[in-house]
Amino acid sequence: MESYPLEYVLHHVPLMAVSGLLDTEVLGNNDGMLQEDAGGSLRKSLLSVLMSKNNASIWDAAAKKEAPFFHVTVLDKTHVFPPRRSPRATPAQHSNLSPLNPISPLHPDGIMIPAWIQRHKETRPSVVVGFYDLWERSEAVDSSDPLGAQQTLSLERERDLILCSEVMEKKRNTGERGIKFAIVITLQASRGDDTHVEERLAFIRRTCSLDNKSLFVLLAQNADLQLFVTIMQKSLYEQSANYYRDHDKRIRKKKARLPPISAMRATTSPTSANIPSSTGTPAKPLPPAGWHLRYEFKLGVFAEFRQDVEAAIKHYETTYHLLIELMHAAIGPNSGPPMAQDFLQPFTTRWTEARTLADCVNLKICKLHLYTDRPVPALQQLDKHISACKMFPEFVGRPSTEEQQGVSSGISKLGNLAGGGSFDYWAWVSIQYRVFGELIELATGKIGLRLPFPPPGAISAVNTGTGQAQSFLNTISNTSMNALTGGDMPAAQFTPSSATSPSLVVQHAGYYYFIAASCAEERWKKFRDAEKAITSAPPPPPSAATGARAGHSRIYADIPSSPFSPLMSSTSTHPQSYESSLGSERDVDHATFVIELLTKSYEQFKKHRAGRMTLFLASEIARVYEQSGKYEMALKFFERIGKTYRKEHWPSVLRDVLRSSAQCARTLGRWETVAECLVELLNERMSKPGPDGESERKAVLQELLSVIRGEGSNPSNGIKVIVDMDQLEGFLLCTVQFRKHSTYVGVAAPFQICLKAASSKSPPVAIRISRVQIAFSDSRFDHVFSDSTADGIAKAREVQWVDCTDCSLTTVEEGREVYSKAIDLDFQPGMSKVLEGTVTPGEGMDLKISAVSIVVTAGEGSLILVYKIGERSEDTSTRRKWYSGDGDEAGINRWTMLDGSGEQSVLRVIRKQPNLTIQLNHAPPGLINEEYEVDVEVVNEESEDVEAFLDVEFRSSGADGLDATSYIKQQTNHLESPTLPGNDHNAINLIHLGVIPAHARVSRRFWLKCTENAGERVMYNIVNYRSISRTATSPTSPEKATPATHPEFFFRKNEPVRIPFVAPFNPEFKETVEFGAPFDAGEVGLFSARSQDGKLDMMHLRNIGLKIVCPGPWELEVTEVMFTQAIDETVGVRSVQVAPVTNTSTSNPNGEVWKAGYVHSRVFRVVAAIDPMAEVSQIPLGEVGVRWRRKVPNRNSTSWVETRICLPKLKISHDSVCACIDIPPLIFYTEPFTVTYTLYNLSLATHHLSMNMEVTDGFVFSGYKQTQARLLPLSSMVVTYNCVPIVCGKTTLPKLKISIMGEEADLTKHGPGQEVTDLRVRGGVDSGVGTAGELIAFVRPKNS
Amino acid sequence: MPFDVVCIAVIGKMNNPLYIKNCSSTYQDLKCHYIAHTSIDLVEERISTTKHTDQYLGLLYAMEELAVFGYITNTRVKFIIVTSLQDVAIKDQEMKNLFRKIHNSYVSLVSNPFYNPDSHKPIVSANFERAMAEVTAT
Amino acid sequence: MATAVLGQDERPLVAEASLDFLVVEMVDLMHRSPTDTEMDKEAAYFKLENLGYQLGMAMVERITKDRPRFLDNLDVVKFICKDFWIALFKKQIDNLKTNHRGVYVLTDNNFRWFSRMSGDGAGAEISRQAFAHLAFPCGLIRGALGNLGVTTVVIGEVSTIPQCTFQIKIAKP
Repeated sequence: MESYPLEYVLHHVPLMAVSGLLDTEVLGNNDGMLQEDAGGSLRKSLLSVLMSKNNASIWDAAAKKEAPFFHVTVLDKTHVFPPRRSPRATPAQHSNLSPLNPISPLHPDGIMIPAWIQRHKETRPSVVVGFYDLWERSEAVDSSDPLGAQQTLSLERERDLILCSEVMEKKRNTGERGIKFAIVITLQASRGDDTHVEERLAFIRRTCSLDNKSLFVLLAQNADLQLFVTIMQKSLYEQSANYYRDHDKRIRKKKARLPPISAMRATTSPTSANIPSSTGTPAKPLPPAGWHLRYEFKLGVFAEFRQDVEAAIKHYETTYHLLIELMHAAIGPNSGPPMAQDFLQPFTTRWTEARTLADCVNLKICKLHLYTDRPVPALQQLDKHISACKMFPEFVGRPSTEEQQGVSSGISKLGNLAGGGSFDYWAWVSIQYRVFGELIELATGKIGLRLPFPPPGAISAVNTGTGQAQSFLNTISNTSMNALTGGDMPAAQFTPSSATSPSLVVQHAGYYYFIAASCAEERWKKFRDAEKAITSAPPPPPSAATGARAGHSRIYADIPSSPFSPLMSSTSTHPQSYESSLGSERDVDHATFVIELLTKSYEQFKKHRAGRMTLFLASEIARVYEQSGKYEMALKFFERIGKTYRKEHWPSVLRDVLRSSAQCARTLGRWETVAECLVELLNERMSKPGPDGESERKAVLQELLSVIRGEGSNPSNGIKVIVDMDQLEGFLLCTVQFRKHSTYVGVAAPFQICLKAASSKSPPVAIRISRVQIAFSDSRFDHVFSDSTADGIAKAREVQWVDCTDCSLTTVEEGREVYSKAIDLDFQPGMSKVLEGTVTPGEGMDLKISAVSIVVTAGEGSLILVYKIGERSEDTSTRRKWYSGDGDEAGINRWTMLDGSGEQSVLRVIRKQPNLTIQLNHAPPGLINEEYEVDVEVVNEESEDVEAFLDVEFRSSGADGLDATSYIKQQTNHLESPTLPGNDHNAINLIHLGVIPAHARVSRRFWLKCTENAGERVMYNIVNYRSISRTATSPTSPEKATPATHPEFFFRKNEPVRIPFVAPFNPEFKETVEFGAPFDAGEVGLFSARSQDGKLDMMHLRNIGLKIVCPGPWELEVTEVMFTQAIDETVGVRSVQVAPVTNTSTSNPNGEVWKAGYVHSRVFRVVAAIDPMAEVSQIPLGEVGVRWRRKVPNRNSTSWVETRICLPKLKISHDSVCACIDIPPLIFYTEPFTVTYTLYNLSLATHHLSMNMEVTDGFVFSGYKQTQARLLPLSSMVVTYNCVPIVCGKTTLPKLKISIMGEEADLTKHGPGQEVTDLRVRGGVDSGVGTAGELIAFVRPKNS
Repeated sequence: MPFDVVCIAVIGKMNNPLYIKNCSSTYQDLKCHYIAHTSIDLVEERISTTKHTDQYLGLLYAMEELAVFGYITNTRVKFIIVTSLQDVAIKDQEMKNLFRKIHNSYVSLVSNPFYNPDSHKPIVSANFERAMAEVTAT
Repeated sequence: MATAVLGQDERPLVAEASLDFLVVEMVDLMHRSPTDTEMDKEAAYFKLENLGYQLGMAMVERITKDRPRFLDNLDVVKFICKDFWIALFKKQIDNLKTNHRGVYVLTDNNFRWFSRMSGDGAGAEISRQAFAHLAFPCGLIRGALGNLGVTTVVIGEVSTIPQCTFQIKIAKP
C-alpha cells in the first residue's frame, strides 16, 4: 500500500484550521502577565488535544463509534486566504493544478495528480476556528464608585469592539472562500453565569453577526478540554460537511456544463464540447471524458471528506469505470469511444498517472467496502480491477516469450492473457493482492471482520447470480455482522436451498498474500524467460535504461523505489521501456520478495492456527530458497517440515520434501544427509506405484551405494553414514523378541531378531547385508552376525529362519569379545529374515536388547542402519509372535502367538538360589577344656557346580560374643584355609571350599575349645556360594571373585548352632583340723616338724578330703590324676608338706574309664610349720591335675586334655589360746569317764581364763562348775572333769566354756571375755565339734 | 454439475491419507496431496468451533483457483472434494450428494473383511476406484 | 449379520438361530484351536475379542452413516446403548450407569446370546463358562467405540445368565 502516493491512499477527513493558538500571538495582546502565561498553557493543551487525532485512521474512527473527527491544522492569526478566482477566468488564473494552467504538471491533458488532494487535505480547511480571549479587568469592580464602574465599562466596550473587528475581518476573509468560521472565546477569570459577561458575549455575537452555533465560550477554569473539543467539533461538523457540499455543488455545476458521457460516446470531435480550451498550447487539451473523470473523482473525494461513504463509493466506482473505459479505448484497436484515442497513450507519463489513479481508486473502493462491513463487494472489485487491467499493453507478455510454457497452475486464471503476461504484469498483480491482503488484515484487526465471509452455508441458492449476489451479500453481511458481535461462530446451516459461491468468499489475508507470492514468483519466472530471450539479442543501450529510471524517479520522487512500484517500465516509449524495465528488473531480488510474501502469509495462517498450511508454506519458502541458491536455508526448512508428514504418513509429500532436501544436500556436499534422505526414499510408499516407481527406487539404491562409496566427495574414500531407522519410514523393519520374559541364571534364553521388508518390493533389488550387530545393555552379550558370502538366492523364501544359537566368542578390537557367527545375510526383496540366537547370562540382571544395527558396506564406505530398540515406546496393539522353525524344509515353520503384546526386548534374569544345605555333626554338650569336635558338611544339591566359601564363628552367648577363654581351630591339613587372624580366635573366614560338583558334599572339621565358664555358646556356619556354569556368560574373572570382593555374586546361607558346655568334673573338698599340740611335734609322729635352727614353730595339721565327681553325660578316659604342690614363698611359712594319705595314684597310660557319676576321692595331709610371729593368713597348697579325654568308641585319636582342680588354701587362725580336748573313744552308758582339756597359751602374754561348765541334760558331771585360771605365755595347763552319760546315742557333752579375760587389774569385774574357739578334738568315732561349736560324743549302751 | 472436480481425497482418522485421486490434468499429484493435507486444518477448525452436527462441512477454503469442500464422518474419516473455482454458486445439496456417494462406497469398503481400517495403508480397491470414477464423472 | 443391520427394507431375512449357532460355534472353535501360548484361554479370548473389534468397526461405519455427528463421549455411549444394540439384538441396553469420569456400565438384563443358554452346576460355574461368550460382544463394543474415536477397554461380566454387564473404561488420551 505504501508504494502508492499517500494522498491517494489515505482516508480523507474534514480539515479544520485553528488560529490564535500559537504562542507568538500571545505577545500581541497586552494583558496581565499572569493571564498571559495561564492562557499560554491553556492554548498549548488545547492545541495538543486538537491535534491528537490527526494521525488516527479511518479504522479507529470506526472502532469507537464517535463523532467523525477533523484533521486540524494551525493557521497564523494573520493568515489570509487568497481570494477565490472568479469563474470565467483566464488560464493564468486557473489553479496551478488545473490542466488549463500552463504551469501545472497536468498541463495540458493530465487527469489528476496527488498534489490536488494534498492541497485539500492540508491547505483548504472546511472550518476555521479562531480562539480569542475576552478582556477582563484584573481588579474587582466596586459598585460604590459609579465613575470607576463607568470607566471600566467603557474600557471593556472598547476592547470588545477591537475583538469584534478582528473577528469580522477573519469572517469576511473566510466567508468569501465559503469556509465556515467559528470563534472560541476563552474566559480567563470570570464565571460563565456572570450576567455581565453574558451581555458582553451577546454583544460580540450580535456585532459579528455570528449565529450561536459558531460562537463557543471556554472557561479557562475547570475546563475539560477533551470534552469541549469534542462538543465543538460535533457542532461544527455539520458546517464542515456543508462546506464540502458546496464544493460538491460547484463541481456538479461544472460537470453539468460538460456534454454527457453518452453524448460524448456518440460524437467524434473532441473539440466540439465547450470545454475551457487552453490557448497557445500545441498539445491536445484534456478531452471532456477526462474532465468527467476528473470531476467524478473530485466528487468522490469531497464525499469522502464529509464521511459520506456511500456517496464516495458511488463516485469512486463511476470514476473507476470511466478511467478503465478510457484506458481500454486508448489501447483498443479503434474500438471503443474514439474521443480518447488521441490522449492517454500507453507508455506515457499520463498513462502511468492513470494507472496509478486506477489502482488507488480501486484500493479506495475496496477499503470503503470493507469499512462498511461489505467484504464481498470489495473482493469483487479486486477481481474486476485485475481483469480490467489485464490487457494493458505493458502487461502483455512479449511475443518472444509466447513459446514459453504457460503460467503455473495455481494462478492460471490470472494468467490467461497473451504470453501469459509480462513480469510487469505479475509484479502488478502481486501488488494488488498484497494490498488487498493488507486491507483485509487491517479490517480484521481494527473492526473485527469475521472471516471466512460469508460463513459456510449462508447464501441461499435463490440469488446466486454474481450480479445480485453482491447487493444481497451486503444485506446479510450487515445482519451477520451484528450477529457476530456475540463472539462465537454461528452454526452453519446447510438448508437444502443453501449454496456457496467459492469465488465470492472472503478469507483471511494469508490466502491473498499467498496469491501475491505466487504472482511474484510468476513474475520471476517471466523475467527469467525474458532474460533467456534477451541473451541472444544484443544488450540494451545502458543510456536508455538509466535514463528511463531517472525519468520516473524524477516524477515521483516521493515514492520509495520498491520493486513493486507500479510505475516502472512505462516512463519512456515502448521499445526502450521493455529494455529499461528489464534493466530495473535485473537488480530486483525476486526471491526475497517471494519469501517475504510467503512469510506474511505464513504468519497469517499461524495466527489462525492452521499448522499444516504453515507447513505447506514453509515448504514453498524452502523451494524458493532452493531456487535462489540458498541451499542452507532450504535444507533447514525441509528438515523442519519433514517430521509432520512422516508422523501423519503422507509419503507422497514426504517424498517431495526428501527429494528436494537430498538435492540441496547434494549441492552442498553434505553426503550424510543425502544418504539419509535416500534411505528413506527407498521405502516403497515413497515412490509412485508401478514399474516406474520401482525403477526409480532402483536408481535411488544405486545412488545411495555410490554415495556411500564416496563418489562425489572429492577424496573418494568411502564415507560412513549412520541412520536412525526409527526416526524415518524405513524400507527395512526390525523387531526383536525374547521368547520368555525371564530366565534363570545360567539358563539359555532364546531371542529372535526379525528383519522384515517394509513391502513386497523393498529393497528394489537384493542387497547383501555385510553385518548385523546386536547391542545389549550389557556389552558382554553383544552379537555380531557377519555375512557368509554363500549365495542365498537358492533358498530365498519369504521367511528365512537362521539359526544363530551356536555363536563363538571372538575378540574384536582391544580385548572386547562378542559372540559372532557367519550366516547368510543376502536380503531378497520382500523377504523377512528371522535370526534366532540365545544368551545365557551368568548373573542376575535385566538384560536388554538396546539396539540392532545393520551394516551395508560399499567400497570403503559403510551405511549403518540403527534400530534403537531400547528407545522404542511400548505398543500394546500387536500380539507377540515367535517364528518357530528350523532351517530345513521338513520342519514346520510358522508364526506362533506368544503371550503378551508388543516387543519383548528385555529379559529379566533371575538368580535362582542354588539348593545347598549345611549339616553339622557333633555331640553336645561339650565339655570345658576338651577340644569339641564339629564336622561342618556342605552339600550341593544342585545339578550344577557350586563354588562355596565358608565362614565359621564361635561365640559365647555373651554380649559381644568374644571371650578369650574359648577359641576355634581347624584341621590344619587343608592348606588353602587361611591362617586365622591372631586377634580373633573365635572366627575363621573365607575358607575356600572350592568348586563343589553337582550333588557332592564337602566337609570340614573344626575343634571348639573353651577353658572356663560352663554355659551355652553359639557356632555360626556361614556359606557364601554361587553356581558356576561352564556355558553362561559370566562376570569378568570369576575365579578370583570372593564374597569379600564381589559380594553381589554370592548367595549367603547361615546355619547357627547353640552348643552347651559343661565342666567335666565337679570337685568337693572336706577339711578337718587334726588333734595335737601346736608346738610339740612328738605326737605328730610321722615326721619331725622341728626345724634345725631350733626355732619354735607353730604347727598346723589338716586333713583335706577331695571328691572328684563326673557329672557326665559322657564317659571319660583318665590317664592320671596327679597332685602338684604349690610353691609358696610367703614369709613366715617355714615349711609346708602336703602328702596324699591314700596312695592310690592313678597313672596308667591307657587310663581308666570314669563313667558318669563316678567319684574319685583323695585325702591329703597337710603339715605346715609357721613362724608364730608371722602374720600369715592362708597358704596355697596346690592343685590336682586330671589328664583325660572323652571316651569315643573305636577311636582314640583325640588328644588328652588336662583339667586342673585347685585345692582350697590353708587358713591360718591366730587365736592366742587354743584347747585340745581329749574325749575317750568309747563311752558307755552310766559309766563315768574323763574329758581332758589341755589349754595352750600361744601368745607371749599372760592370759586370765575363766572357765565355766555348760551343763547338758545328757550327762551329769563332777568338778567345778566355774573356775578361773592364769596362763603364762607359751605355757599350757590341763583341766579335766568327769562325766556320766545318762542317755545313749549321740549327745552333746557338757562343754567347758573358756573365755580370755583382761589383766588381773580388772579381774573383779566380770566382763564377757573372748571365747576360745580354737578347739582340737580327739575322740572316738562320731565325736568332735558340732556345727554350733558344741562337743558331740556317742554313748554306747553298757555292754553286759 | 456446474463445477468440475479436481481432486478427491479420503483422509483417515489419524489424518493419514487413505485415498487421493487427482482428476485434473493441470495440477500435479503433489499439489493434490498438499491441498488434502492442509485442508485437515480447516476441518479441525470447523468441527471445533461450530457446534453444528452436520457431517457436511461446506466450503473449507478457496485458494488460488481451487475451492476445497469438506465432509467428516462420525468415525473421524474426512472426505475432501476440490473443485475448480468458478463464479457460480455451488449448491450445498449437490456437494452433499457427492460426499454421500463417497461415504457409501467407503462404508462398503470398510465392510469388506479383507480391509483393515486400523492399518494406515492407502486404499486399494477396484470397487472403490470405480465408485470414485462415477463421482467425478457425474 | 452385516446385512441384517443395514436397516434397509429389502434386506434378506436371516434366521436368528443360525446367527446364534454361528456365535456359539465360533467361541467353541476358538477355545479348541491350539495356541502355543502358556495361557490358551487368554489367547482364545484375545482372538474372539479381536474378531468382535473388527466387526464392530465395520458395523459402526454403516450405522452412523446417516447420523448427525456426535458431540461428546456420552453421546457416543448412548448411541451404543440404543442404535447399536438395537441393530445387534433388536433391543436396547436396559441400564446405563456412569461415574462421569470415563467409566460406563451397561447392563443387559436379557442378553440375547445368553437367552438360549442354560448350564448345569453351580451359578459360578455357569457364569464362568458364559464369560467366554462375552469376549466377542466386548470386542464389538470396543470396535464400535474405537471407530467413533473413543479408545476404550471393555470388560464383560456375567453374574447370572441371561443377565450381563459391560464395563467401558475410556482410556485417557
